[in-house]
Amino acid sequence: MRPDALVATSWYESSARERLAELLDPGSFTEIIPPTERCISPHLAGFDLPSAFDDGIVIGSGRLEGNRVLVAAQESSFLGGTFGEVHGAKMIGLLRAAAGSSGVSAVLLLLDTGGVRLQEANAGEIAVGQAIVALLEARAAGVPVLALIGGRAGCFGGGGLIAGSCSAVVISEQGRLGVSGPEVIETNRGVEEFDARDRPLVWRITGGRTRRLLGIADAYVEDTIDAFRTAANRLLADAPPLDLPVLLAEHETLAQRLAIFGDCRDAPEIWQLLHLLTAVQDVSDAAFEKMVAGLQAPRDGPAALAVASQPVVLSEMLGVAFDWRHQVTIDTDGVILGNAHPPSGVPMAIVGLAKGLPLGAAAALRLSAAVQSVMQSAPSQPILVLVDTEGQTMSRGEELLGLSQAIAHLAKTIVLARLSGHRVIALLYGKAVAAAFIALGLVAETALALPKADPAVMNLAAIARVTKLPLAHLESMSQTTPVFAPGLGPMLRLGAISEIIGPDINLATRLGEIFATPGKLVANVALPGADLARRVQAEASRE
Amino acid sequence: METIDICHSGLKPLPGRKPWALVGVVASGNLEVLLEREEGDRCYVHIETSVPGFATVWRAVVEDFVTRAAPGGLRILINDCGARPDTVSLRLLQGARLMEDAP
Repeated sequence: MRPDALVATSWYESSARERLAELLDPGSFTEIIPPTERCISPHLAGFDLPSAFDDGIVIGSGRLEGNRVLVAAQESSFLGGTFGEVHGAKMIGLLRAAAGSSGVSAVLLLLDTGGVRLQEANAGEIAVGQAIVALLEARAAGVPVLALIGGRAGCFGGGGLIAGSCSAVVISEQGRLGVSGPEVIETNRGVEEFDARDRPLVWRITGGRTRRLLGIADAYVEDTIDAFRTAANRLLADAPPLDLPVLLAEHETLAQRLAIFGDCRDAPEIWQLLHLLTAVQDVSDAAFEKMVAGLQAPRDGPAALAVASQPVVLSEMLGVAFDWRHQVTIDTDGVILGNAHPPSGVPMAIVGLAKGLPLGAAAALRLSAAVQSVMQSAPSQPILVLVDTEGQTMSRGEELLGLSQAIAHLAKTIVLARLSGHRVIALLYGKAVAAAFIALGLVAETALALPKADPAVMNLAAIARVTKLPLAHLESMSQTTPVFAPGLGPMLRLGAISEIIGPDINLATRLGEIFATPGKLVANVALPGADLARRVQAEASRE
Repeated sequence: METIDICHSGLKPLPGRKPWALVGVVASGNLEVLLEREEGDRCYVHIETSVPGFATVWRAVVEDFVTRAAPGGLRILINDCGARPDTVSLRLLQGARLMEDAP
């Protein structure tokens, strides 16, 4: 706090603690699980890495213009602000407290993260899914949640999905938002697809101004803590609720964006379609805000999202017995849509992604539309989500148009379906990777798996490259700790998967039993960090 | 990782009443210092560092800090990620200064 300072404090240059101290009313911040508790990661020592006393996230309660708010601020200098077990549990507990306690007017998430922490990949991935569910429960309970993005790490991976789940996003020019970071895309697709060392390109694709122009961020601010506070106050005044009409309107917006800008590969193509005459990166913050205010969003006809599809027989596709009558189709993007009818009782809706194909915005929107249509036409109908996907699509064009928001839209739809009384269960039967695994599998009530399922955040060879640890060392570690090793076994041990459907079981019959007994599958599951999340929730509710 | 424990006793109590303070972050070339008050006249420092082999330097930096700050009744925990001695020295003094503030 430096009210007499001549130069306003930069958000980008500040630490998580400095941001909180100046964002909230002076002296109002009370930390939950402060550093004196030494609540450190139990896993980093095994990788010969130093821990931080707050595990890279500062949480607590405070006041914003006199109103009580809960806050979480990620410290990107510590391991890129990544989600580990403790880090995630702190955010989850805080968000759960927001949903459950009266007197909380809002939650502010000061996101500054590269996504999931690879050394604790499984725990981090599960935590992001749980955080999204808790966040949406808070919003459904009438507590708005804001994402404030303008730090060094930007907001990527699972962080991008969390931002996309928020009531509104505030971003600065320095802020970046997406799912796959430029380095990840370059590693996977080559430098021709995305040159991560081309900084102007990185900012044109993922930076604050592009995000604001496309409506992925709701406010654009200059890089000062003061500006973030002003924008947060303004957005909280009319934050949208979380309900089906809001989701349907968002769906229309995203479909329009895809129809109009779908072929764009760089920001100048978007400027042209928006009839902006000056290069967007050359104007001042104030001039840019005026530019956004004067925008006339181009409108196109109804977006043509449908692609060719053909019927499939589930028992053939999954390789297990499935004796219910069903009509299921699969399209060229691998999107599965349909339903199955038990001998008696309500039919089950089926959505999903097949053939290990990646999840892009168009597929995410088709899947969301299918679930939204079930919510409109068949209240309380159970929904089965089939998962065989290599993860989110890694491309510059998808990132430019805000793939994080499209995947978050799908996650939101699935969670809102659950909150509206639909049972939603995922079935992993092939690959299940990264953001697509979160949005399809980890925000469902629980996940089942066939023995051939192979969930992963990243394979061990890639983890070895990033963590600079010998592969043999990681392989031996993965025998003793399930927290980062890919595969079905670790995810089962961590509780992300509650049951493996063996070859002697008829899948349809088992699903019928599961849908008939609410909550039974998850009753005995203890996810990583569950105790800490409960403690945070209790303390945040008590304040 | 290497762990180093250093203890100086018979020190004048550090002024102020703030129960704890945290300075710095665990980032490359930086460190996090958690200072807490405790009974008695000693200054106990516990260091966990990612760069092994520098115990002598750590002892010298802490001794210098003890001479300059009179940090009696302090328990100091350090998570180090390869900070240089001058950075360590700066953080220790910064932390002691913060502890002298009102609670």
